[in-house]
This record gives sequence, C-alpha cells and structure tokens, in this order.
Amino acid sequence: MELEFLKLCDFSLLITPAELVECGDSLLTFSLKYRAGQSYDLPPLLSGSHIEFRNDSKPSNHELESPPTPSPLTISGKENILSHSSSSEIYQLDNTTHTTALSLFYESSFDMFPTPQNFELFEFSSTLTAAVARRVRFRNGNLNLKLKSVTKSRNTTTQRRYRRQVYGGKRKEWKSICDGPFGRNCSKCKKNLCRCKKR
Amino acid sequence: MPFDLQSPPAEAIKLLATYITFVTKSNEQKATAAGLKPTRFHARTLPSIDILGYLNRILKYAPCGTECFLAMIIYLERISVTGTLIFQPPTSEDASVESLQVQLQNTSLSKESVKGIVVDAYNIHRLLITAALVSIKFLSDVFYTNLHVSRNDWLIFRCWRSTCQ
Repeated sequence: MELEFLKLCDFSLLITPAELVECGDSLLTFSLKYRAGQSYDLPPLLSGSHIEFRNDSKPSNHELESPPTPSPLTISGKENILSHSSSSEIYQLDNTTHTTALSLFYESSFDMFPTPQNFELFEFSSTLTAAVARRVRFRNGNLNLKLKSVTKSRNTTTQRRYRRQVYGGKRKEWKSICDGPFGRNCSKCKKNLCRCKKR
Repeated sequence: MPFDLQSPPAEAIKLLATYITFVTKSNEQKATAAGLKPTRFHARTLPSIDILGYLNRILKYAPCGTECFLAMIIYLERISVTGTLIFQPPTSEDASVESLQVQLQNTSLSKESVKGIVVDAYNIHRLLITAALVSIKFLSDVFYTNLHVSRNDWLIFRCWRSTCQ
C-alpha cells in the first residue's frame, strides 16, 4: 500500500518550508471561515505541487551583482544562486534526480557564508541534507525501494573494526596461543580463542 | 494570521480534520458517478471512527511534528486526480467517461489509465495512515516501521499485514 502511494505521487516527496507554511495558512484560513459560516473560496492548497526550480527569466548583470532581498515565505536567494550555476534546466526534485540537485546545490553554495540574506538558503540545503540522510533510513523502513546514495563510504567504523579484528592487531597473538590441530590457518582461531585453548 | 509551524500537532490536527471532513463530504459518490474504479485504498464499509479521532490516534501511537501532518495534505493533493482534493466532476451535459478523460489534464484516453485517486469517506482513513507513514519517514528524524504502525492501527491491521513489504 505504501509503494502504491509513492507511485501515485511519482515519488516526489520533497517539500519546501514555504509550501508547508502556505499549506498551514490555507488550512487556517479555511477553518476560520468555515466555522464562522462565511463563504470560502477553495483554491488548491498547492498549485503545481511538484517542485521546480525554473530559470524562466535569467537575471541581468546588475541583478547578479546586487544581493536578493529575502522574503519571509520564499527562499528568494535560491533561484539566483541556481542561475549562477548551469541551471537553465528545470530541476524536478523527484527521488531519481534528488542527488543531482543536491550536488549542484552544494557546488553553487560551496563558497558562501551564512548571512541574513541567504540564511534561508542554508536552511534549505541542510534540510536537503537531512532529507538525504532520512532516505537512507527510509529504505530500512520495510520499503523495497532502490535509492542512490550520495556518497559511498568504505571506511565506516564497523568496517574498520572488522578489518582490525580479522587482519590486524591481535592476529599474531592468536597464532602464538593456538595449539589446535588445524595449524596456523585455523579459521576458528580468528573467532574464538577459548575454543582453541580448550582443544 | 500566519500559521505557526511551531504550534503543537494537536492544533494542526483540528485544522486537518475540518478540511478533510469537508472534502470527503464534497466528494461523496462523485468518483463512482464519474466512472472511476475503486482502488486498493477503498474500504468495503465506512469506518466507525471519525477523522479527528483517527488523526488523534495516529498522533498517539506515532507522534510526530506539525510539519508531518501538513505534509500529509500536500501528498494527498499530489495523488489526487485533478491536483486538488475537491473533485469537480464533469457537467450534466457531458456526463460520459470520455468527457471526463478530456477534461482531466495529462491523461490518456483509456479508462484504466487515469492516474490519481479521489478522496472520499471510503478511502480517506487508509490514505491518511499511508500518508502519515510516508511523511514521518521522510520528514521526521524518528520514524516508525510498518509493523509498528499496523499493530496500533486496528482499522487496517489485517490488510496492511498482507501487503506489508
């Protein structure tokens, strides 16, 4: 049922903070008018609900130089930042292109520092990062969904510990202690010293 | 008056319940009249619990933030047939299925390929629990497995267990 739900929405799960605020405002307005018995106009809460970073109007030179004025509900600096990069394309943030958008996002904002003008941009990028991390956990939530990971770490704590246990550290000790009949290449020595001693 | 995302989830639930109750009443029997087939989310009978009580139950056994509940509405809009939760069937002059196909954007002419779902009283509970699960998994740092949710949701436990992946 969960997978069907995701297929119906085309796996587009990403939601911006502006959309959440707009949704909350619409709900609050509707609820107040409905309870007061007033006439209400019900537009869709979100028109064109798929997220699109569209570069319809390329900024001119003087717009690139001046910093964008942030608005409370929109991440206004984001569009200009994306227009600096090669963003004449439309970024449709579904799961398959999510990592691409994330990497481009970081490339464009790599040399930026948080200021009052672009603070929302950093919030959004951190939200994206957290969303990517959650997608890894999402996969463990009993959902058969193939996800692309952003980075492939080969040196995790678990892997280091395993390598140390098998190949490094105490292996020579095991060889000197083991008197088992299987010799130096005894596979049981690596796992449990007690068994070798008892033998 | 702007909506505060930091408000407690119980307040957001009341707003959701008001809106969703209105939507289900508006869409009553419109889907069948328009010729849309029931989906996997449809129940045979109307559940006895109301929407507000159901959302409170979701909050009780799978507590999450306000943004998760708002995201549920957004996801429901994304899966609806027309992009809005209020379903507008074709006019009485053009009540055939073909006219419905023409009016819906981005759909092919065949009847079975209409993508989306019309939210009504028979499928809203299952849609809510599924949307809640998806939004919690995606937006919240603390998430719940399908088994945990299905155990506490007695309404669809058997159905979920048979389809759980």
